[in-house]
Amino acid sequence: MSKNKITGIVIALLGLLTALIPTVIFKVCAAMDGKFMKCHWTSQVEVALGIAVLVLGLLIVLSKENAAASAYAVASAVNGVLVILIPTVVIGVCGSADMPCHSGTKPALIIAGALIAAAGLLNAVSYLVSKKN
Amino acid sequence: MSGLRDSFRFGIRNIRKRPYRSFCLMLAAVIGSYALFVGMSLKASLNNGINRMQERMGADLMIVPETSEIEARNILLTGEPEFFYMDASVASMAADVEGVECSTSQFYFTSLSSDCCSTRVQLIAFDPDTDFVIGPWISEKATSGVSDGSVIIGSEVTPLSNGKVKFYDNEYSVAGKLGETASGLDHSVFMSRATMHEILNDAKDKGYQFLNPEDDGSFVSTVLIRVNKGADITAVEKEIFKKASGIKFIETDKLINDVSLKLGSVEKIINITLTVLLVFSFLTMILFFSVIFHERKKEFAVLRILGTSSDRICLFSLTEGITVGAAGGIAGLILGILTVFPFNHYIENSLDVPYLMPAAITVIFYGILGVLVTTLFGSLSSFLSTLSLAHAETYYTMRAGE
Repeated sequence: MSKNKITGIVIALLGLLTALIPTVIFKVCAAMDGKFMKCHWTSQVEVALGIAVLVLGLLIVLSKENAAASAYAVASAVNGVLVILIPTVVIGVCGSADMPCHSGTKPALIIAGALIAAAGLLNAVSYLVSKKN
Repeated sequence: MSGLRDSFRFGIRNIRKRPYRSFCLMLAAVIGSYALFVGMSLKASLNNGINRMQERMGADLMIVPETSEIEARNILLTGEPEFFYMDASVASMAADVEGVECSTSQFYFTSLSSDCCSTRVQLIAFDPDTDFVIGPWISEKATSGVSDGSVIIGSEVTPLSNGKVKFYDNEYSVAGKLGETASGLDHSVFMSRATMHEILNDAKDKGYQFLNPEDDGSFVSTVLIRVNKGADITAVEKEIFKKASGIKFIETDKLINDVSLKLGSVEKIINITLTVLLVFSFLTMILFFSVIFHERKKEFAVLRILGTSSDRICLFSLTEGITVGAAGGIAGLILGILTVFPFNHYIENSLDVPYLMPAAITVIFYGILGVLVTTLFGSLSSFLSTLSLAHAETYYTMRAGE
């Protein structure tokens, strides 16, 4: 199996994981008194980002050109950074460290985002190095 | 020295040449190291939690209203916000009972979920003049004493971005933060009776009434008692019970014992899982190495024909085993770190027992231990698997299957 295919599968799986973290694995807080909290909106954006990363991963697997695959990998890396920024800076989660979104969802999304960014960047760097040689 | 270097190079080349096989082998080491690091860290955190809780309890006996024993335990163990009241005369009466060294009272009420920190927190008013339970550890961390209008927060309470906490639409400055107690008190906010009166008035204005603020001086939620050294706690309880009705006693020693029992069953589950995973890791590595080396019999026979000694062949495979074990061990350790540290609070909330991470040096020790154990597993299993092959007759090995 080529490097691109392995990277694509890993990124696609991490994208799927990103979408599942706030909805299934570490579910965000339920609405309180009919009001949604910050973590609900973070969850909505993360599901969208996760699907985008999943599609990018599949595109990497299907790419026949190395250049196209590494371009998709860079796009995945950018999305990976966004996966981290949504619960930490852009929207955030509930303030209390005891809330499930703060103690479970947030760290899980940070780890998933970091892995997506690392996988995407590694693929792009490896393409650039091989092109140089 | 160059022989060792060559063996290492040969081993690494073999690992890189067969990435899938090496990945499967490494996975067994990852599981072993991960289980050891996470399991040992969890066990140490649980023991650390119960020890810290015991240290911080301070009182020997708690008097609570007859119907509120479970709620009082919840406040102490999980920080679940509750409120209950009894007549304040119990506090003055308990202080005069023979065998009581000191006693103090506390008043419990709660915040709103939308106030501070997104969740309801336990609000506790205490009497700084008689207090012996909170005082000793406020002085450890407080930036200043708890004056009227300011509060002391538990270690798990997060203030607003301006550094204050908000209850019933009014903000209060934070005079200090307590050290970790691994108990429900980590999720509580402490204040003087005057601040409590202010908050109760605000709560009443918002339509939340715990007690009529005019009457708050006549009620307490709990009386905490420390008995004299050598005094019989049961006798003290009987004496207090003669003078007051509608009360219940919670002995902190019994409370700690109950938690220890719960902790014991969690620890048993961790021990069983840890043992099963370590045995699985070791057996899988032995099995994999045996199958792989059996397949490579002819490769070893060619090496023997080319003049490589059987000791050298053992060294080659030992290097492979050590490399796979160490690399898998380090990967498992990284995974373990990604589980134990970021999900610290999640684990604590899920286990529902006192949980406090041990000192950094202890955690580092468990990490090193995990990598060393999987390296040992790798080297032992590769060595044992090669040992039988090394003594086989080269001629018969080469002719086998013809």
